[in-house]
Amino acid sequence: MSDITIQSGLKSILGPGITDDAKGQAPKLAEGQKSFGEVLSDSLREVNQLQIDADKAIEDFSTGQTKNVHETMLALNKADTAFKMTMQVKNKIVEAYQEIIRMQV
Amino acid sequence: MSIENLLFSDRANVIMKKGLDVEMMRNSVIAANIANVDTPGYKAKNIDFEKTFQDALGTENQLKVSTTNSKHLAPGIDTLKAMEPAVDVETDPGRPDGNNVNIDKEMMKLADVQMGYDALTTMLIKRGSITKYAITEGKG
Repeated sequence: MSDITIQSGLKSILGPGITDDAKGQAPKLAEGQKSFGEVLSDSLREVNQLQIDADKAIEDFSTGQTKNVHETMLALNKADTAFKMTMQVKNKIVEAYQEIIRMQV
Repeated sequence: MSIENLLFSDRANVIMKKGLDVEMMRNSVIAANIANVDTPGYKAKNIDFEKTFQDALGTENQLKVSTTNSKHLAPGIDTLKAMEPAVDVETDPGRPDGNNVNIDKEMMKLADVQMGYDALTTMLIKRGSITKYAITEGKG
């Protein structure tokens, strides 16, 4: 169900750049660049690792392994801040998605 | 899956709670020692839980506790919850009346306990706030 007039209109405006083959394919990335999805999942993994590190720091303090309170508090604060930021990023993404869905084509 | 298991029974929470319990017990023991500073024949009591705790969790510095059989499990949450610190007797040499309470040492232990208790409470609250934030999704 393709709209012939839109496609032919696009082709005339944008030249040979847009073709039927390129429809639906992700843009090619330069060497070493990561896709957005990869960046997101890497960041989530990092945040999770921070939570794990905070738990380990708590464990070490409770069992007397380390007497440094500041180490534990720093780890906890890092985990807390990272989590809060991730949560807000997720809220914004969902908001953006909902706004796009609401758009009337 | 009860709420208790879902929210409050992960390893860090159980460890923190156990740490708080031990500090409370230490507080009572130190208070008893201080109250009995003049009692002849009284031997100061002490709680030394850190070694047992570390052994149980496998977090010692020297060796990782390794299992000889793959079916041996690391201590489960229930084991951790059920661990009780043992009260043992101080081995300081006593004074002529048989009492070996060293008041300076007891005061230092008291300061230690109070700091540890405060720190653990703050950590517990901080960690709980992360969970709370996840539940409310940061929208208050």
